[in-house]
Amino acid sequence: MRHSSKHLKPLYWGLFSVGGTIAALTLAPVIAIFCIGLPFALLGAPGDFHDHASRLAGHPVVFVALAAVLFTILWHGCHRFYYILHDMHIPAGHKTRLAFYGIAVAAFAITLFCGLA
Amino acid sequence: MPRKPYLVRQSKHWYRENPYYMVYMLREWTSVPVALAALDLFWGLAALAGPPQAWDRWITVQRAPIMLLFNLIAVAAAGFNTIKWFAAMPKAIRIQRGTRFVSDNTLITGSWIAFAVISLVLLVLVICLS
Repeated sequence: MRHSSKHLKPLYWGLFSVGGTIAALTLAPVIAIFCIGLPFALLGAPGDFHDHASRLAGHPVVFVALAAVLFTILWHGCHRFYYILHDMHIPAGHKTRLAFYGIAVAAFAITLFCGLA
Repeated sequence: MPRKPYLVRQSKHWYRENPYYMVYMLREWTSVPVALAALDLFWGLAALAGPPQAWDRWITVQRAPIMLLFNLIAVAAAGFNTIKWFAAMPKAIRIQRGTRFVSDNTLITGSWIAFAVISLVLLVLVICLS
């Protein structure tokens, strides 16, 4: 078990660095535009945006790609939170770590299921 | 004979002891709003790909005062993460050109240019599509 968990560390950290870089490049504008600007009609009508962008966002390739991007961002957040616990002297073992990663995997799987079903 | 390993005693509140550690901890805590925002965006993406009613529901939830407050905090947290991530980038990535490494400032400026281009493209895309 110890051996296999060490073996997977490049994967844990690799997804973290991909997610962190994507979050650094895109997340602040994405939240500002999609979660604030669009709902409060600062950029246009949210209903019209759905009319024009729904088919594109629902295209399997586009949908999976966007969901994968969000997955890496969520993974990066979960990974960092695990290390916060460590930094704050809150004992969290390998199972806790896997549970955090599990949240990211589950959110990804549920989104794919809802979007592609 | 029982082992008597040397244990480093670190105060539980070590990160409150100097401003450098405080900024470090603040930076790491940005991961929480970032992760929650990602969950919200997962929902938003599925709603956008779904029927208009699903999209309307997501939009209505974003308009709730508590969500607006959260989204404002999330923008600030994500922005702070961007500043710190770009600043740390030259330490993580060393790009060699000829006999020299690409300077730290070039890497950081390049990252900010990429950030500006992505922001602008997203903004124009959303304005054109809505």
